Amino acid sequence: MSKAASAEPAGIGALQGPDESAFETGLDLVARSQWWYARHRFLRHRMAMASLVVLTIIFLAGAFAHELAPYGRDNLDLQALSQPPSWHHLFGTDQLGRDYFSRTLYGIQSTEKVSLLVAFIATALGVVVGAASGYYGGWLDNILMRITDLFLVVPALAVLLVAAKYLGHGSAFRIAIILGLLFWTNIARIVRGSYLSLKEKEYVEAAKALGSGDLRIIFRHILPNTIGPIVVSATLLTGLAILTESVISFLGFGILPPTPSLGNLISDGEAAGLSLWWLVTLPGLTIVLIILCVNFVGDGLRDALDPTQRRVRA
Amino acid sequence: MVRRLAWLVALCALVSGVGVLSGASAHPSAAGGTLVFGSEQEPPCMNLNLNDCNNTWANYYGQLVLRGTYMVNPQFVYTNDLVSSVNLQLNPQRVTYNIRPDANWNDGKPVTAQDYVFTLSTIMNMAWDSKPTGGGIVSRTGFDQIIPSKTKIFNHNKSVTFTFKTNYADWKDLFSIILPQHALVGTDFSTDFINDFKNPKNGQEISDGPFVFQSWNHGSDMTLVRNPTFYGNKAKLSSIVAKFLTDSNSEIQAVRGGEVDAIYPQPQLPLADLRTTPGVTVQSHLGPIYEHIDIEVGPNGNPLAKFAWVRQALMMSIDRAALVKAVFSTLNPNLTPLGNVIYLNNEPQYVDHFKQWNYNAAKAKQLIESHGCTKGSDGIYSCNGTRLSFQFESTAGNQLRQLAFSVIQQQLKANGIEVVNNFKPSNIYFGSDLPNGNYQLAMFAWSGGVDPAPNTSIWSCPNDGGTQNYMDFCDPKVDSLFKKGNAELDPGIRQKYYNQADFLIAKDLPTIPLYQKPTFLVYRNTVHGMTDNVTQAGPMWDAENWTVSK
Amino acid sequence: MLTFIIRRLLLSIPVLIAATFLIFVFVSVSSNPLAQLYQNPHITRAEIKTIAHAKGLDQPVVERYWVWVKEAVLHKFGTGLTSPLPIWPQLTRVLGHTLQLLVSVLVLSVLIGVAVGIFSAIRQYSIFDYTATTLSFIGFAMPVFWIALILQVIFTDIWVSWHVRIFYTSGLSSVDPGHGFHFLLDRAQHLALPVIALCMLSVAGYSRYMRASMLEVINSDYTRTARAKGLPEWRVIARHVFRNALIPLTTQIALDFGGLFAGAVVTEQIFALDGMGKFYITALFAGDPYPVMAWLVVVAIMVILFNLLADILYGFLDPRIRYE
Repeated sequence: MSKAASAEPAGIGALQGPDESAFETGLDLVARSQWWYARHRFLRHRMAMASLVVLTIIFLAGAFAHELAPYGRDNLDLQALSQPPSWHHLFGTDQLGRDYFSRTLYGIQSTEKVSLLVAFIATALGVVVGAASGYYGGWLDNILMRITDLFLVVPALAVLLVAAKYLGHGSAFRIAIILGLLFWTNIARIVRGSYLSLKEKEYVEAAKALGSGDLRIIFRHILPNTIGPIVVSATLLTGLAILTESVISFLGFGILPPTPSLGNLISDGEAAGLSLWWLVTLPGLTIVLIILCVNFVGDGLRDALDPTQRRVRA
Repeated sequence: MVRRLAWLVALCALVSGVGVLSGASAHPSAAGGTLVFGSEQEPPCMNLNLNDCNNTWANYYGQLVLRGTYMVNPQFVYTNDLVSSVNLQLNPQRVTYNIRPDANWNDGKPVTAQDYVFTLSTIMNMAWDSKPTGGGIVSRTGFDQIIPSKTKIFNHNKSVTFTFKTNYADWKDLFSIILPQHALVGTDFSTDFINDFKNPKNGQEISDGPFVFQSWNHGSDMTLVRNPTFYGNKAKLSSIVAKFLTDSNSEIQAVRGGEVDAIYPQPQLPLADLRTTPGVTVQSHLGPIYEHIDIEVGPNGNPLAKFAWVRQALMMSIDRAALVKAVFSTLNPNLTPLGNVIYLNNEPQYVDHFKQWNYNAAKAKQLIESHGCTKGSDGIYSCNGTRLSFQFESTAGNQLRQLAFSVIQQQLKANGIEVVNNFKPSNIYFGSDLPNGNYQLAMFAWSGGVDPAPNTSIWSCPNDGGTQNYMDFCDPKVDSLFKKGNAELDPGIRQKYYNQADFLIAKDLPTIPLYQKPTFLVYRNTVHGMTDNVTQAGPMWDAENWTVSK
Repeated sequence: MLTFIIRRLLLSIPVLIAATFLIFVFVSVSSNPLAQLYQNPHITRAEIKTIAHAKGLDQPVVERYWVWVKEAVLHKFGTGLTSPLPIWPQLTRVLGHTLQLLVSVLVLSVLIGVAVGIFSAIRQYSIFDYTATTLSFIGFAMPVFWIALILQVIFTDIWVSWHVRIFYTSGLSSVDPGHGFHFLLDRAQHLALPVIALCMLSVAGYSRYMRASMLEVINSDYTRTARAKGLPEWRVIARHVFRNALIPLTTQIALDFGGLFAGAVVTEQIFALDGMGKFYITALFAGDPYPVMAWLVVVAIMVILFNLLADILYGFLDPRIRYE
């Protein structure tokens, strides 16, 4: 972001050199970059800002679960089985007397580990493939898109089953890799679409005329102009990753108990009988809250980064 | 736009309104006496002698159609079913079956000795194992001891005597399903009785039991109707419908909501709700399936497991009574730990040989420390540089096992032993890890039966008949005791052999028996005459006595 | 355009082959369809070997893949390794049931989503718009299986307390559903809850998408021209805005349809519906590759076809993208 202090005043005195009066009053004319506008639009989007704050709180709560959890992750209290929420236990206890609030905090930690990793892997892979595909076109595009089709078609559960046998079961890292490998296709499509349109732009022609190499054009020139959709997709992908992790944990393939994740807490809760309502409802509400915030932030980012947007969102 | 929306809303209101009105009539009518039984599994096929069809629920429904020599009642007593009497003679062992004079197939033909002989020859026919479908015969054990050439038929085809090569103690479990010779002779057995019980020769459903197979809507339900020619008590119901509800939560909701009349679910925590649900009765007993932890002492196991004192310390650090209480108190408060791996708690021959290793934290600690182990900073012992840490395997997705593991983990940690969660999907667990001995600690269940003979394959040395010996345990004394027991026809002497074997197994401690899983027979209060039967006969053993009131 | 379509279809064939080969290898190598036999004390290891040989399980994986291909093409996917029942009738049955579920979800969610989206766009920043936006966001955020569980309990409790059957909570049909209208009504009552659970997410998505699309068109130049020409507002919306806004939505619907199959898996599990999801999971857990492959081929073909459709529609939308 360069703030070039312009010394050119507006008005008829321009031909006579710098206007001394402007300097004396201390007024500078500053050229704003796109980023500055984007940032300000985002800051004025109330829901997105509020969601960002909430998300940060939740994220930090999960990251510091060890310090914040009142009872520890696995402490069994056989005298306090299946207690509903109370002052002693904010979220109640489960069938083995473990404090549910503590387990939910650790659950947030596992879930955020997996989902952030998934978003990172999927975005990185998606951008690379989409850029190459969109920019070069031709047979490379065809092959890459068919590979994309292959990944779309291969079912996640079958792959997870194999991973369970050979790579060890339940590791957050491995689950994240597999999910990441299955989610990148959406971003690749979007990036490819952007590159297909943008590579015809004049500044690309200009850069080529100046002798820029392909890589430089791809990353230095076109990529910043496609950041908008990428960032939005990555944000929404995080939400999707959280939901997917909870589904596979529900089916028994994700993070393994006793390590809690928001998904396997719900699945344990469902299996424990629906009269212990807090076991299913509270982690579910946590997921809803997180994804709600993620979506608002994504919405805000989309509005902020889209220069054609006319009205400011409330 | 708005008009379209309003139309949509009106349609929704109409549908739900009609639904409310037709609510009563949509429920299956009990006028003709139909009982809807929610089944946790859909049978793959109905030929109970083939491996591909060997499924608990296939057996439950199959026995309503094809009968056998005995029916085991809830007190573990073998009562005569197809026979009026059975004679046992010794030296050599000969068994004579006297078939009931009134035992008939529903097409009018009588049940004869030919049916018994045909059953024997079909089971012993090796050709079925090589067929592309079917998966081969379920069990030839015992049948392979009969000498076919010495079979005698007499009494107008209503009696048959089989002669055995050597003494076979478990003879009462033979001929538990009799096949109709006149219908199946000359056919490809691997394609018989797949989708139904039709006689391949005339396409009619055949049966000698209280019910006749009627129809099967794959994926949805199966219907059996009353057999008016049954020789025993004629069924009071006009039909039984098996509704397939393969999700355990949905079967509980279904019986609460009246969509099915009865269920027989695997033990799971939500069942506790059903005890307090109005209009529903729960019968729970100690079941024949018992849970245990195998310790692998072979090369793929934990190197420390080879030492007897390690295994003893393991068991003495687990408080099984507290474990059972924590996991099962809401389901069946009468559950107690199991102390014998051959006989069940509710069998008369039961003797607790494992109580020498009952929970004793202090003794366990002393045992560990006396072998030179020191506690690390994380609270776990290290013995000559190796941490006392085990990989603990079981089937993923099983709530109760998950909970049991958490309790065990906590208890062991308190005593300085670490167990790490290594649950696997059951296909990998049973199909690969267990048979190859690729585990350290494995928690799963064996199906105990009335007869101890099948235990031979679990406890005998791996190269001496121990085909299911997944622990690499080997004690030749145990092997010889089993061989003697399997050939001993006197029940009193027989149980002494088996209990001696159990005593030796308990001393060596290759496995830690935990508890018997409780059974749950849940039915609505409109159902009468249902009694739970924890033997292999299952809950449908007296289906002919069931009635449904409005 | 035609050459484009044909070329895409031809290129999709190796994709299909590659996918089926990969998954066949994965499933065959990681699971053992004879796992249950090891738990039977009466079967010797020698017998298990004979049975394995009869089912061709001792052959190398590539060989077994080729056997499967022959079975699939010549005998309509043959029978499974763990069951003697033929796969094709089962597959068509479960596909029919799942399509009933998914098409209902699609039709309902498009109708409601489009209606809500249009109204939100026309009355932007009104109370309706804010409410719809908030509900959409909440709808996005709820895990489908969570809603499904809650709905199941609510409607069971309604029956238990008031003895009024509004919707069924499991299965596809009652025991004796009758014919014609009674059958349809019974089926509708059984599918209602799964449809509602799946719809929430789709309605949220389509309403937001439609709204954004409508807004883009409403604020565009040609709309302003139409207004400037003096056309009444409703005509502007109906003739110009609505149709143009619908095109990107159809692209999205085409893309989504493939993913709907995956979403149905958990819902079918919870409501015990006899559909593709249950068929697939049962086969996967049993370690039987044959039904898994049959399922995969059907779903893969659907995904490929619908992606192709989406690309064609996308091409119509943006003339800058030329397909040679």
